[in-house]
Amino acid sequence: MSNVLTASKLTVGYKSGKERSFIVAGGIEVSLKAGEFVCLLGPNGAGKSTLIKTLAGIHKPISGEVMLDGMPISTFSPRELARRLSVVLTDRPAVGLMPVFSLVALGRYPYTGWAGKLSNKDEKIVWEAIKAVGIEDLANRLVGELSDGERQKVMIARALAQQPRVMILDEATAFLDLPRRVELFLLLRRLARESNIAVLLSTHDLDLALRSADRLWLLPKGGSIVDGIPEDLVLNGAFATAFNCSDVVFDSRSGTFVFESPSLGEIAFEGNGVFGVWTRRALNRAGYRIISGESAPLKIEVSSENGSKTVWRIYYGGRPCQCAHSLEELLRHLSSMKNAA
Amino acid sequence: MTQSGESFILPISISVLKTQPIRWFFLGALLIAIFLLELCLGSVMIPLRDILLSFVSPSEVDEKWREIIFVFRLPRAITAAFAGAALGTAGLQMQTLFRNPLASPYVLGINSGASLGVAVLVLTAWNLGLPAFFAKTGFLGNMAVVLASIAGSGTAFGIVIAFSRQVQQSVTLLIIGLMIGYISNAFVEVLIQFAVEHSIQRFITWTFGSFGGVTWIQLRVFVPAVALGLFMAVVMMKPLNALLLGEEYARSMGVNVRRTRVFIISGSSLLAGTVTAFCGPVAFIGIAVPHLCRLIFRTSDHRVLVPGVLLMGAILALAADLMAQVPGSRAVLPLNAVTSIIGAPVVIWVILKRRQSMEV
Repeated sequence: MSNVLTASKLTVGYKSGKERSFIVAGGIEVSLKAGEFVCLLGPNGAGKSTLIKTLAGIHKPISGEVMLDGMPISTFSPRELARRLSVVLTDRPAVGLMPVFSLVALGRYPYTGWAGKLSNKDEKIVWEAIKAVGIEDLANRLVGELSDGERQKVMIARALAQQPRVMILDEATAFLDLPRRVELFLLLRRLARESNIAVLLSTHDLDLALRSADRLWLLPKGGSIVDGIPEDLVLNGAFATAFNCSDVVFDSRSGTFVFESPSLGEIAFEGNGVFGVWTRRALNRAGYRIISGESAPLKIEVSSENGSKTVWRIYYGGRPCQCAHSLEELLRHLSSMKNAA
Repeated sequence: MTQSGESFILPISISVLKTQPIRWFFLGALLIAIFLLELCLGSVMIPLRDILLSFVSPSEVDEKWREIIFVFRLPRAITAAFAGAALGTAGLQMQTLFRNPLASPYVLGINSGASLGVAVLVLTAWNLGLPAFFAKTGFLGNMAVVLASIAGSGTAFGIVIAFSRQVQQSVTLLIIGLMIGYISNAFVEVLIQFAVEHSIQRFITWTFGSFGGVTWIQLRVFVPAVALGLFMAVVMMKPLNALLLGEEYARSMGVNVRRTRVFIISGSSLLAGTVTAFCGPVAFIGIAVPHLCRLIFRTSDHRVLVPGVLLMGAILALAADLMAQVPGSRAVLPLNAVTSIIGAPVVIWVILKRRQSMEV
């Protein structure tokens, strides 16, 4: 696989006035390969958007160079650039009275003549883009009637109709609900492979990015960018360093973030199966730290006597204290015991 | 391409090729009808037969009627049609460029600049002891007003264009245009304060707008200038479509946004400035016509809307002029009163009818 887009010694930021420039991130060395789906992750304010817009040629870099197909991106004419690189942005454009087909057909802009008339080939490419994204049944609908998720798919189809080598998406999934986001992540990964284009998405969806991206770029605030495959970044701790703050900790076992609540004490618990998992979650949420073995005075056992209801038993100093028939009841008992002590 | 793809292409080509021509035919017929009506009606009613006859064999028509038709009504109708087409087209371009449904051809301060130019001429001519014909209606006075208006709108245009090279987003220009308007109006108010009464009257009459008083000789400037502006809009149809998605998307699809912005502003300023110079600041047609067209053609596609606003603008301007003349009476209403009375309800109706129409 060859590099389609390469950034070397790149410093991004924005200029205010003629002289002053604010550097957001520097020392960026990254590259995108054809057929690869890459997610750019980073906390708010780290400069994801600035980096993305610089890579897309919308902003000029403070220093360094972005190379597209081996040529500096600034040397392309707008039309030549649009034939190689397309973008999808966060905001939903308000075009009420345009059918989906026409909007996707706008992706042919850098290929059509002065009036924007579609040739048979253009029309075929537009249909292929519509089918690749799976919005055939929306083709005749007006863009103004679509849901946010449908609308972003249409914008992706339009970006695909540009037949780009690179597609760059700036938080394109931000306003969507979880199922729609999952759908878009899978779609982008599929598009990258099937159409052999490099897809770069900036996102806040760590979990989805971990599960679906071929590579991750981590951009910590004030730090330099880290590039690698998701699993490596979790194992070498890069993920945790990029995102940790006082209240949220990245748990590399589960691949999720956990909240650090103030601890109410330790509880010994060993449970398996679905009841075990959710008992742990409930105790964690309430602020207890769970340890194994008998070292804590407080201990909980969960049992479901054959066929009958599940029962949680609380032991204190090895003696049975109380029973609970739901987790709510269990937490109530624990808190009243704590208050009594 | 599989079968399912083909079956989707079909309804779209049908909707473009088969349903639209009925609307085009209807609009074309309406334009011709209202144009002829404009020739028939007025303070004196001339039968349609004589109108048509005066083109084919003029000798058979009463000389007085012939004079009314060729000296007054025909140039007036041509002016109204071109002015309406110009304002509609300029309004459409401004609404798309600024992605603002309330944008009019005058948002960039073109008409404010023009009215300052005219105010300087009309309101100070008497005080400065300039020849009286400057302040009176009549050919020379009329030409002077046209030139003053062009000087004013040209200055406003120059300021906006100078800024347009520097600003990142077009919306900034909207605010600059608005401020040019405030400054111009402030000067106009000061001029009015110190002007003599009959020149104020003359100035106010100019602000009412009128399609009358444009002579055949003036049409030789007016028509080509408007035609050039309309041609520029036709050239811009494709980038205008891309601009519907916003400037960042447009840029990503290969639009040279700055160059396009300058071209669109130049074209619509030419249209708005020309109309204001010859007809005064004609209100509301520029806002209402694009909305009406979006409603009729149910599309935001400028390849349909540009020819659409051209026809619709001409129709609406002719209709407004007809009503302003109050056929059958000697009374004449201010043109702007009529355009606003038609225009405002049209905009309200469109907004209530379709929410999406408000999205440009």
